Amino acid sequence: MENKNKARNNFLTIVAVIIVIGALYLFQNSSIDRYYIRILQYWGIYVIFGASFQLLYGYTGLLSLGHAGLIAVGSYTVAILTLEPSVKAISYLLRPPSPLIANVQIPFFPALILAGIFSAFFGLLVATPALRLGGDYLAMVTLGFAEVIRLLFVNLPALFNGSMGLRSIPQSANLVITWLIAILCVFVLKRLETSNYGRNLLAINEDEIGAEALGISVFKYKVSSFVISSFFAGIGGGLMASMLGTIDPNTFKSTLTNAAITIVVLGGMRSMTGVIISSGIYTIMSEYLRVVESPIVLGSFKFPGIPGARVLIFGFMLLFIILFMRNGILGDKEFSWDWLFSLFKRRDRKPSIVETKGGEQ
Amino acid sequence: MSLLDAKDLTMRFGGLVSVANFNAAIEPGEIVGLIGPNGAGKSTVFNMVCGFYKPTQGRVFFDGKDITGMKPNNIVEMGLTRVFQNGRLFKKMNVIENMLVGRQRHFKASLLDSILRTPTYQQNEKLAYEKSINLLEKLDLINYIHEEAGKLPFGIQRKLEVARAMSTKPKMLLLDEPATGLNVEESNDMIHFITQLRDEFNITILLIEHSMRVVMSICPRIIVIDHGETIAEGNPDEIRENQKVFEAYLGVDDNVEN
Repeated sequence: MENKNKARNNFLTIVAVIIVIGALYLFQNSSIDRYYIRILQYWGIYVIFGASFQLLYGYTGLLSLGHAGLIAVGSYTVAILTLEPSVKAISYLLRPPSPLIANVQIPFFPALILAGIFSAFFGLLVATPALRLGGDYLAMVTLGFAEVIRLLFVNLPALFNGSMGLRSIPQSANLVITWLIAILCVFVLKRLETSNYGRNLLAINEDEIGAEALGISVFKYKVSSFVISSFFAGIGGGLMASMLGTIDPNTFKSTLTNAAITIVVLGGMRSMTGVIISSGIYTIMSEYLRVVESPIVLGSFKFPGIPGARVLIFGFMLLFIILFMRNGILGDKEFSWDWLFSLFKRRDRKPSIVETKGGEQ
Repeated sequence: MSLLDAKDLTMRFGGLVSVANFNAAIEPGEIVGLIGPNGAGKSTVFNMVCGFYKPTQGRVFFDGKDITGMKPNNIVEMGLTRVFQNGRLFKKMNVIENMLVGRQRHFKASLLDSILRTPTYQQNEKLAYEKSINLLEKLDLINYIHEEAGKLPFGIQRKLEVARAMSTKPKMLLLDEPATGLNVEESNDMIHFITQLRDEFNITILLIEHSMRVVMSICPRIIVIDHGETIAEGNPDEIRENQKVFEAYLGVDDNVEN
């Protein structure tokens, strides 16, 4: 089963990653409008949200509506752990910061790892009872969980500064760091999905009882995939907190969960390439669709802007995809170098003469 | 010592007694048939043995250990694998992937191994492929290796399901109506297939089957249950001549005086 061009493909992948990162680096240091850089950075973060959700939804087949809650845990972890103690002292207006967190400050990267770990822990906490229930109940429980998390932030002002949220979070995650981490997350998740682990998840997705009768501990796999997905959601959330610099409980409404679902459904249930493309589409759309929320003047008529109209459009889009393009953009197809080369070969040579030129392994 | 020993297995659903005092001792290498009319409780026996139901009463011993109430996946770990009646293939996965999932219990690599693709992972994956291919070759399914399981002919699907169960490397197989829905030619094929399993892998089999032709030609020993009770046990000839079995299948004829 081994691909003969493996060495070449790995090399090309590494080159491609270096080129992308290099390009992003140039972007970041150019005089280009910060707004566009922000959009690119959002893209990278949405890739993580989508990819982490895909493991759960596309592979294990679990519909969790609590992704926003897990992202929120990651965001608040990074925010609280990286905020300077002096800033905390000023910005916690409702209550003085709890002694637990008042004097804590750690660098960004350890904070980001902890964000993942905390989210994974909360994932475990929800998944263990929730996964004893089947089907729709999981969706309900996780939806409730996300809301509970949000309310915890509002109602524990000594820890989370309530609905005021947290400000002046050090913006350590620049464009390049965001994308490097996104690429790493994609890599790890894809490796998991293409290993025996992913295969077993797919088997569970197709027939739980069948999988169990083959000796697969269905519950353990479900919980572990939920926890892994939560970990990456937390990492994404941590990056988001660091990018935004300001978060409050309203940042983590269910719109964020919907974003993850839309990205996976649009891109293709099991295609990482699809997720990367669709999160780009989603990010760009959600920026440019702001038009529909601003007041529109048509001749002498003036329509007031409808806040939230974007969500409406995404809703319709999701409906359209489910009805007319069930597999999304790519379904379970993945970009591969072999495919790319086959495009060129077909053009100038007969396929029968094709021999493997990449013999240098 | 018998490989599978079911002692007084009883299953009640509310007031309904589905299976009452089922006893069976199956020796290593045996093929035993379990027959009975519809609703006799055959599948319930399987469900109790495999851990899908917890018996109301009685105990199951496998390989000398008490497995009553253990989880299905743990029972597979012990070496007892079940094949379902209504087909539980992973239909969208291809044949080799189905086999590989069956091999999971022999896969000794952690998640970290699979992320880093360490030598441990690669060896495991390679071994899993080799063993699966080997098994497919032995069972004459190698030609379908990359086909999607759900698109195979029905007879091949049934065979694949048994082959997949074999890839867990069980000591004993529980086959629930492997020849259901097969035409004569296919079910002959299945008979050959099952005898081949016994001869090549020396595996113990407990088999539920409706088709008398299949049961009579494979099983040297047959247990008959009706309304949850064991009504007969013996070799095919004895079963064929047993009056109780005759009545269970065809009903009691009131006009005939004994």
